[in-house]
Amino acid sequence: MAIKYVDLASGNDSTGDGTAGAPYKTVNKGVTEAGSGGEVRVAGAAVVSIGNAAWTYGSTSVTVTGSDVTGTAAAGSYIRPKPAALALCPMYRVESSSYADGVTTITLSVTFRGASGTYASQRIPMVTLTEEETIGTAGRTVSFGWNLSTETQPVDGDGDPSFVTGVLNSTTRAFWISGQCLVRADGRLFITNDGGSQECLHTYTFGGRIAGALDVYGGVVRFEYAHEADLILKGHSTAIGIYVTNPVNVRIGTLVLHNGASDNYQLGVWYGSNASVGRVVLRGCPNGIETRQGVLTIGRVDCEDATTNTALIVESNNGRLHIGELLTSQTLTMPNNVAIGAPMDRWVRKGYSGTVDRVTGRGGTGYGLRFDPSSVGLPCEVQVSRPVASGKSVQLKLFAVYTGTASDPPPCYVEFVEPNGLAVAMYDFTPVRSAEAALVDIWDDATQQTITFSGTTARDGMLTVAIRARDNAASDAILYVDDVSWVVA
Amino acid sequence: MAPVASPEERRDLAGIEVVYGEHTAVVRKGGLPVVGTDLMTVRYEYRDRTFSVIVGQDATEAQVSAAIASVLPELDDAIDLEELMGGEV
Repeated sequence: MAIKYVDLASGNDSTGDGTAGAPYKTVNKGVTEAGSGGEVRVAGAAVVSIGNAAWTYGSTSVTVTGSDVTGTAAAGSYIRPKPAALALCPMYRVESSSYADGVTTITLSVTFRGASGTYASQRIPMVTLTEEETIGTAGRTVSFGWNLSTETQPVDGDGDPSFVTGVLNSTTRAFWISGQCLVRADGRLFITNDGGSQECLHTYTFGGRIAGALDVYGGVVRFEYAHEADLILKGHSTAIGIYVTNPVNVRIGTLVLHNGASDNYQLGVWYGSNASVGRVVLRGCPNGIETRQGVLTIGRVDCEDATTNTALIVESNNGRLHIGELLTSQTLTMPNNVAIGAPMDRWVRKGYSGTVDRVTGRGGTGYGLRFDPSSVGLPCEVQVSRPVASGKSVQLKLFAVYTGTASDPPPCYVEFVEPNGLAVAMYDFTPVRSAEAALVDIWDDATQQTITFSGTTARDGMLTVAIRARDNAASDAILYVDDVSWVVA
Repeated sequence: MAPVASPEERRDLAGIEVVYGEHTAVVRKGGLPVVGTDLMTVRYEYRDRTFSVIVGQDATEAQVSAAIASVLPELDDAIDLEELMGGEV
């Protein structure tokens, strides 16, 4: 398996041979020479510390006391709190900096949307690209942040990458990621077009994957054709932040979106496309999410620091948006085709193997699920999702009760739709029976079930399970389920 | 429509049969209340398929039978056509 090295700054496609000592200049050259199954390692440069900086939520001012770091945090540079100091924070562009009276005052180009605090901070080294780069063709792995002298990807004492690849794009698009390629971003790839509105990254043809964290400032990240991404941090966009188009599944683990445009949505799923996102965090995004003739499923949406509440979530032209859990302090005006939680408003799921619909929930409040399986062989089901971090043990809890023939409960179980590393199995549970007829009395007889999944989660992303029930032997079972909750530890 | 204070399963309706021509519709598990209304859904099997009618939660056996009987002619024709032409995909 061939390994080829690329140095975007000082490599040479003509005189280089792809070794660490004589790297190519372009990723295009590297993937061509690496061949199918090969790996391309792109040189990085060391992040530069700017010391402990005080960042303030809602402010463009960052201060460093006691040091003159204007040489490091100069206008046009990109800085951020270290990930070990502040997780899930994108990089920010520096508009200007000055030093006086022992304090460096850095002015950011956009408002800081993270939590206020004093954090060890750093500058991301940038290389200016002058032409588009294509990561692909099929079957290549491209990784970033390599120290070519040592042929390693160094980390600092906190385990954060200390060598990263920062790309400043001066053309329409920085990267194309074409099909069946693995891009190992891993927190080492930073892309910007200096806050412009063009595409920074565009996936194309089928089935590529971006592993680990990717940081983008400005521009648009456009997904097509069944690509996957783990974590995308996006500091700013005047256009659509993340754009999913073309009618093939896109799966993204976590999106963190800062400083969205006031007139463009930050996560758009359009035109027949279908996307699943584990978690979306919106900070300073007055227009958050839009589906336009597309279907979007999100495990959890955190509307942190939304600056308006009127267009935070929109569906238009028969889009569909399903959100497992919505966390916001805003009062939202929700459109008709947005469904939150389960069960959902005006919701009936009727299939060949039974009907699941909603009833008044336990305690007479909210809603519960009612399963009417029509087959002893095939189950009817409801799917529930939850975003999870990696390395977690997970339990599902629910209250269940059935009506029908005594000692003849419907076979019930939980199975994974997306296991995220947990053990795939049929996790059985047996509901108690109620002999009552009135719903309120039926719920009184319900007991809590605990389903413990084996293993631990493999990555930050979404966990989806199906709660399934078949009919009992007497073909007269009705199953009631409510108060579904997760224990993630 | 105001919901019934304490909606109930109407298991007493299970097994109601409505004959139409050579076929019989059979109510499966009875009537199940529809949330937030004073209606219930009664699911029945007819020609190996499951269908439902919506009636009041207090509907009598006669009223349920009448509701099912009123839809069977058209349903029967639709099933005939489906078996002849194939189902719609």
